[in-house]
Amino acid sequence: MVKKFKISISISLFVLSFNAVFSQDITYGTSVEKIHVRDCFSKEFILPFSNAITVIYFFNNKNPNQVNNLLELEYLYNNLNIEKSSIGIVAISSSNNSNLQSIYRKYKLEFFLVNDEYKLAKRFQASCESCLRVIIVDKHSKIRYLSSQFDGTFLRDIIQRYSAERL
Amino acid sequence: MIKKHGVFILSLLFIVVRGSSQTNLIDQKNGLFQLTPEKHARLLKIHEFQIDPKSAILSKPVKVIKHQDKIYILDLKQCKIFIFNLDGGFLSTIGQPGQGPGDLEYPIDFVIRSNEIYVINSAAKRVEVFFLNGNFKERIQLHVPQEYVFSNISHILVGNNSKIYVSYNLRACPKVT
Repeated sequence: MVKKFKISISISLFVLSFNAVFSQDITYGTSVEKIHVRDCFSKEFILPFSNAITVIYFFNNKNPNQVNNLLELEYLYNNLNIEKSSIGIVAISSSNNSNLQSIYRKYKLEFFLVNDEYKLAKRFQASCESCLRVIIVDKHSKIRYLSSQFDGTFLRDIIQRYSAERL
Repeated sequence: MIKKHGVFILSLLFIVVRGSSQTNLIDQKNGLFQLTPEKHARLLKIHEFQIDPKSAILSKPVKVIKHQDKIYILDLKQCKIFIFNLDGGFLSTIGQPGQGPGDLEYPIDFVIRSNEIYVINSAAKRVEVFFLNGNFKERIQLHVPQEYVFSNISHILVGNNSKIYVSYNLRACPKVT
């Protein structure tokens, strides 16, 4: 009986220590590991982008307000005072590729639209359900901004600030 | 008969209410609405200065403090404190938009106490402390009860004992049914 108790305690301790070491809270300054991703047109790219600022937007494609933010992201993408090569925008939602393709065409987007088959939302401790999530990763693959609010002006300021940083 | 009396009382009430509101409007002095003038602060001196738009443009100034021979203006939109001399000459800024130490995110209020500047990061529920020269000193995380996680801080005061007092616009978590 005592032996069983000891074994169960040691197992739970091992699990807890494993979690403490390997599970990382996504917060300011967290490093993001690179991952190969395909967009809704099966175009492959690496997230986060190398030598560029990466803006990741998790949204619910059934929420019109969150979908409309794509237009603001598109405006931002085309109106920043920085080279387009130094910024990459990825919008992620849980849907099927054909639905995302229709959104892409409807809004005439120029950035990546990804179906969350890679469980990116879980990886970034975000969700594509009720709450939106905006994450900005700098050129050194470190998270510099996380928010559940979408503020285009603030996003512009953050992007311009970190794009001015040298590698 | 009762109906007539009712109408008369109602119309009397209407006249009284209208009359009192008109009196209040007449009491406005120098553009200030003063319902109880004795309970209001009085402006003794107004110092006017012009900011050169070539040196600094403010987009949403929310608070102004004159400290020693400088004027500090907090800009909510630009997430910066602009510093001017008394003639309106731009000197420097403190803070920048972001979430790192010393960065500002929706700064709504600030105070200057013991040559230190305390700025509220309203959304992040943090207080960033700077020296007067603009160097970052420390970050103080405020703990809000879980049921008021959607509440935002609106004002800050720092006591003589360096204790920080903040006020919240209390907003409870919306209940999903």
